[in-house]
Amino acid sequence: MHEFSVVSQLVERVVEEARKRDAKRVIEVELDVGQLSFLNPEQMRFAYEVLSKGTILENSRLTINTIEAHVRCKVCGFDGKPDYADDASYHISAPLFLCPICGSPVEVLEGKGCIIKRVRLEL
Amino acid sequence: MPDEIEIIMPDKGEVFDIELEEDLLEANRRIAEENKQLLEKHRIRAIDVMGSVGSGKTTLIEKLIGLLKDKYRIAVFGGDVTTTIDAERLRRSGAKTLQINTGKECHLDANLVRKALSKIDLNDIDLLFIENVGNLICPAEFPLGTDTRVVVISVTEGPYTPLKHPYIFMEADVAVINKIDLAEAMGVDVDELEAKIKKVSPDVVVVRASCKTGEGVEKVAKVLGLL
Repeated sequence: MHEFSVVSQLVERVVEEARKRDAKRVIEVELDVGQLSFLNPEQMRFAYEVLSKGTILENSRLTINTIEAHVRCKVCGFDGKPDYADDASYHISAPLFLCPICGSPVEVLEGKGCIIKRVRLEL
Repeated sequence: MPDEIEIIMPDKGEVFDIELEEDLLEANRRIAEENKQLLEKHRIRAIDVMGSVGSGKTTLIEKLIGLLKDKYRIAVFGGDVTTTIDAERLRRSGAKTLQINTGKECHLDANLVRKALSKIDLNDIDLLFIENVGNLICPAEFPLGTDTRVVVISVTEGPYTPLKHPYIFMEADVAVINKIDLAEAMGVDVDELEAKIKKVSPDVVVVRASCKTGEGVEKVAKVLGLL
């Protein structure tokens, strides 16, 4: 739901980087979006298209890699993917933040971020 | 040995990759941490109140103010997309109130809170409630720098809220199940609802309340360490 503000931050940051390097244009921006973030790739692409117009990012490609959730159990040390609550009454299968082995709460190691990985520029 | 170090530079027109590794959500977390330090320095307890539209956030804060206003100097930041309806209500209950209108955003962020903090005299208060925008999704991702986060849900939202929105319960320290006086009429089993909250977030403290009648409000204050 906050794709627009996150993408507008992204565009600002890439413009700054391109300017610093005196780039002619931006070819591609690669983003790692965590599965547990509330960012919808489809809406991010739309926001990117709108917000990059008239900037050095115009017509560049946005690549979004989805980063799978990775959790660790604080009690038994389980390290891996979380379990999902599969229930037909929900649109999405919600991740459970309980250890699939021992049922204790887990901490999230990966899958919450929205990281600018790489920017490809033409100089 | 060459007497000059050769520098490899891309030519004009060449393609150049920059590895950035920058988290766009990190900026908010950083400002939230600054807010937290500022509040701690002034010994202000700060509580972020989250929940759906109509779950009873404003009523809970109103009732808590009524209960605590002789003990604490209280301020409230009311977050809304627009209007000052809630802020007006809270001001009448006797707290200093500041309205934060996000305009288009669906959540408060740490930067808006930082701005609001700069508008009040921090030596003049010792308890701050921040009422977040009515939304169960986005606020979870944007910590504000409060020491405690409360999520308010009501039985009128039906029995599935905790399973549909697990993140907000994971982020919360306290979950208030509101409008329990309507549970029977709604056909909602409060025990089951509490069990669902515990399932997605075992560490959260659950309090049952009816903010309208005042039932359970004292318990909320106690759980928050305010009484």
